[in-house]
Amino acid sequence: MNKRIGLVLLAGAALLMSGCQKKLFHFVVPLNKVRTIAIDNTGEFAGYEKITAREIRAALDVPEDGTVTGVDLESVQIRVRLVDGNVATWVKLSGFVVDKGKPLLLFKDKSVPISHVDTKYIGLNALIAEGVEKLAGKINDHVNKVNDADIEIGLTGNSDPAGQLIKVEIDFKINATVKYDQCVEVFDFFGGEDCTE
Amino acid sequence: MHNPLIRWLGLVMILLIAPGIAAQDLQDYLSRYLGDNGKKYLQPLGDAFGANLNSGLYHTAHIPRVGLHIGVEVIATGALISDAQRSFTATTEAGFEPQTSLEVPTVFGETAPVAVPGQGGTVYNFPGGYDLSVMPLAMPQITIGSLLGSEVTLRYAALELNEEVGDLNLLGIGFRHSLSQYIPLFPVDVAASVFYQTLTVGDLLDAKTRVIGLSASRTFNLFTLYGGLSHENSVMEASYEHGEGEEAETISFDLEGANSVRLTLGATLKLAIFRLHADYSLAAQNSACVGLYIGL
Repeated sequence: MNKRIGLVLLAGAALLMSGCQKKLFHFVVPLNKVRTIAIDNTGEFAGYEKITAREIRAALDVPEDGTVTGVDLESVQIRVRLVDGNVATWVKLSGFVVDKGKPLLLFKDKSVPISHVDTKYIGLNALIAEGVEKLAGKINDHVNKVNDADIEIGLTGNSDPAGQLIKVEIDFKINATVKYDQCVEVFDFFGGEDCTE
Repeated sequence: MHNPLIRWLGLVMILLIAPGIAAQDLQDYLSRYLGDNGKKYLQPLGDAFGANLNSGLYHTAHIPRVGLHIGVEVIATGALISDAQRSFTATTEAGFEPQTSLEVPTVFGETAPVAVPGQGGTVYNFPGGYDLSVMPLAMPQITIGSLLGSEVTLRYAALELNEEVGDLNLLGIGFRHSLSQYIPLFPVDVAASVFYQTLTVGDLLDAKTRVIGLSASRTFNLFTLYGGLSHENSVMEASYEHGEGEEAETISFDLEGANSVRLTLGATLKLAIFRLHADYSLAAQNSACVGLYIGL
């Protein structure tokens, strides 16, 4: 207990004296993007959308003196919203990211019910590592200003059973996290790593 | 800044812990959290905050029956962060597969984030904390007495922060009344007290604390030993919008302080018009306090 009281006295003294030092903090911020693809088609369909580097960087919340250490793809979610006139009750979807002009699958043949105008996102539990890695890499390139080429994502699919009229809007949500380090001036009693800058 | 919860935490941390830190820098820690995870991440802050605000309210139980006395005081208090308050069991948010629960840092925990590997090469990142063993807080207060063995203590601070955040207002008022004045030759001074405090910061933070208690003290030359038993509660309300555009949702929760009963033991050294005091409070959230009182 004496040690703890001593700590408090030291903390109080630190407050009064405002002694500061720089410490390294590791921040993790979300980066989410949604693209909506409207489908009005009988049988097979395909839809594409683009995400620009400007959008990615506008949504990013990293300070100027922060150092980005990585981008991870956390999840991909989809939401299928019913539009008037739709006939199909299920839709089978595949999602992809375009790399060097070719589609690289993120998920394949995911069956989703078409039941409501207002529905919740569903997670995808069979993501394909190659596509996930490529998409994360492209976001990382935007964040780090390595390559500003648009990220092209898309969906292909068909009604299930095939050949029915599909009138839906599909929200394609990408959830990523950006990790960055920053040296921040804090009071002496803060723990953590010392800054070497 | 697109997440008011982030702003909210950053603001609290800036005001209560780290005035030297730019808001946006620290706010990012909380941006990963929603709902239950967010509440658990912040709960130790609510506990420490309540314990700190309810500290330093007295340093003697002696209250003269009549005669003017007035004193200004600076209180420095610190909530002691236990190991149990440095981590909590979090669960990955919806969308990440497979759903995973594990121990991750609270706001006071280790600074390193925790990465959870998921299906298909996905990764879920839980943020780190601030690695604090003590959460300190400094407050000014003024005490005025005595009338019929009673005195009033006021805490007040008002700061204009900025347009985005709003203004800070701390207001506390306490009333103490001597009980030992009714018992001739009673060997110790005894007083009853009640305190109420509010802290608001724009629309982001609304905190309230309440304390009722009994204190006793005995003076030996320059020294006074004092102690007290009190019942207290505190609550901080966090309310924020999460998400953007059509996906925005309002998330709101209260952080109720852990403390309900507090036992305080301390000592005061009196030198002319100065009184230096220190005490330690045993409670669910332990805390310690030092103060410098200047007055007549």
